Amino acid sequence: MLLLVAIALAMSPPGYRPVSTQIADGATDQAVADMLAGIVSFTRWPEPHAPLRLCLAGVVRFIAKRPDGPPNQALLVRALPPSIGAGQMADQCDIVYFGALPPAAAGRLLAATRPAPILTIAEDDPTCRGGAMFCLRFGPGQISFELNLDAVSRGGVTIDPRVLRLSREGHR
Amino acid sequence: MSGPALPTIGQVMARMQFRLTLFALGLAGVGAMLTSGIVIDSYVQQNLQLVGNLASYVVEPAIVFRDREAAQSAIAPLADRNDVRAIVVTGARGFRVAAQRPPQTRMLARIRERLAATFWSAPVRVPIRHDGRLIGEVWVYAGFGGLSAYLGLGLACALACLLIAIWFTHIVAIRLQRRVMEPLRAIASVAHRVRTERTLHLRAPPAPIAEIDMLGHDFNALLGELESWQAHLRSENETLAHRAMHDPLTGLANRALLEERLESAMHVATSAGTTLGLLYVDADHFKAINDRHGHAAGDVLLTEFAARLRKRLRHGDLAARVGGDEFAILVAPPAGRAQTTTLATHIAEAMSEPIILPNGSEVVLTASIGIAVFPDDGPDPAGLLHAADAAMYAHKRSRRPPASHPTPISNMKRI
Repeated sequence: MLLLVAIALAMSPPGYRPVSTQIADGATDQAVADMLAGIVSFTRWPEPHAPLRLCLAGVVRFIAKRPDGPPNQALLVRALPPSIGAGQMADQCDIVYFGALPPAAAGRLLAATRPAPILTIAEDDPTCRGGAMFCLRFGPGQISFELNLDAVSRGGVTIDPRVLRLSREGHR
Repeated sequence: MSGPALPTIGQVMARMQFRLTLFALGLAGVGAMLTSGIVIDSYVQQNLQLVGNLASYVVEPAIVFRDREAAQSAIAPLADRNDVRAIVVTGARGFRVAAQRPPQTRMLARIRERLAATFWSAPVRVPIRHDGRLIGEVWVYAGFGGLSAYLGLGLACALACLLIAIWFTHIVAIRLQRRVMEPLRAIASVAHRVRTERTLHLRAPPAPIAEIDMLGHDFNALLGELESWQAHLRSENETLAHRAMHDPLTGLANRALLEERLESAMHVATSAGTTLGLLYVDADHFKAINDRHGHAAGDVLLTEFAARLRKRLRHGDLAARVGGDEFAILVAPPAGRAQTTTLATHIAEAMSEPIILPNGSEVVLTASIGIAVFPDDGPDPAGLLHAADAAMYAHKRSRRPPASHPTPISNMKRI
């Protein structure tokens, strides 16, 4: 796990400093939930649905079955069947959280999310080239995320520009 | 005048003007500085508020994701302004990020920073909200910014105004001196001259200022009154002196004046080595006539008698009334016995004509005349008078033509 993360960090594309959060050991689930809540709070859906529907795809490690959403928004968590169609995805999900998935399935699902107003977060994509908008990265005692600007620009949700600025300003 | 020297009008006015100008300027200046200070302070606060708002906006995601580096880099450019001293961002659970201007090296800049720290020690606090929740605060500390330029300008302006005020006060004081104090000085100098030289004919000139002109007018009126009073007193004195020395009825000299003139004439005669004469004239039977025709008639007689006497006099002679009906004539030196006798004869002739009384009756008032000559008949006025008096009595007794007694008077006995 650590080796994976180290490799992932080493292979970070230049120009994107990952946004990072310090976490205490053993509080990963909560940290992931907080980060998710943060990302969700900076996202705007064209037609907001309350509660927001979080669909988990693949083997998810860090989201408890009922994570806390942002304080003002309840999160409805459900599992995403692997064989769901594009149109159905839009009706059932506002957020798709990708865990470990075979690349083909991940690719198909991501393609399906693209035009729809769906926020995509990947847990297991260190390079963030898979197509998800946000990619979580787990470092020693900290969680960070990376932005895939391409995916963000093609997606159907609006990300607060400050978040985009944040991740860009880390250019050293 | 006693005590220390009094200040002049010029000094008093200049001092008051300067104080007034200084006070007015000071008040205006302080007022202006206070007002502008208040306004500037409010703008400073507004400015800080704006900076805080911006910082709050920019740093919000960094707070949400608890990213120290992102927060630091977000507020760093904002703190790099000369009107901001430092920015501190605080979040939940001890999250704290600060950015401040680097410590200044130049003395002036350090003084400015110290001033800013003193005057605006408390920061402007702007809350950071996310989704309606308060997640942190931005504290913005004021720097001195462009205020130093304002203060410098203000001080320079104040100095310039003070100098202009001083110069202006000086100019106005000079003008005031000329316009107000010159007329006053003119009046004062006239008063001083009148007092020291007693020249009451002087008058103060007209003045261009109402009160001073009125003062000048009243002063001149006073001087005029003084002048006429002085003239009146002088003429009164002359009148009184004349009255003291002359007989009121006939207008001839009285005994006092006669003796005085005799005295001085004797001195003249002595020093010149000449002689003078004295005639003593008595109106015969005057009392009887007075009783018979009345006192009014008596007065008329005496007046006419005196007038005839006076007509016969030469310039320098003096006719005096020395008794009720007795007259004396001083024949001024040089006058010898012959001249004096001739005069006596003429007088006797003049008296031979009758005098017409108011009631119509005519009276002939004859005169007995005694003659005395100085220094032969008497050494001094009293002696000479005595001799003439005796000679007159002798004449009266004899009713012979007037003559002088050759023997020394001291041997004569009065009848």
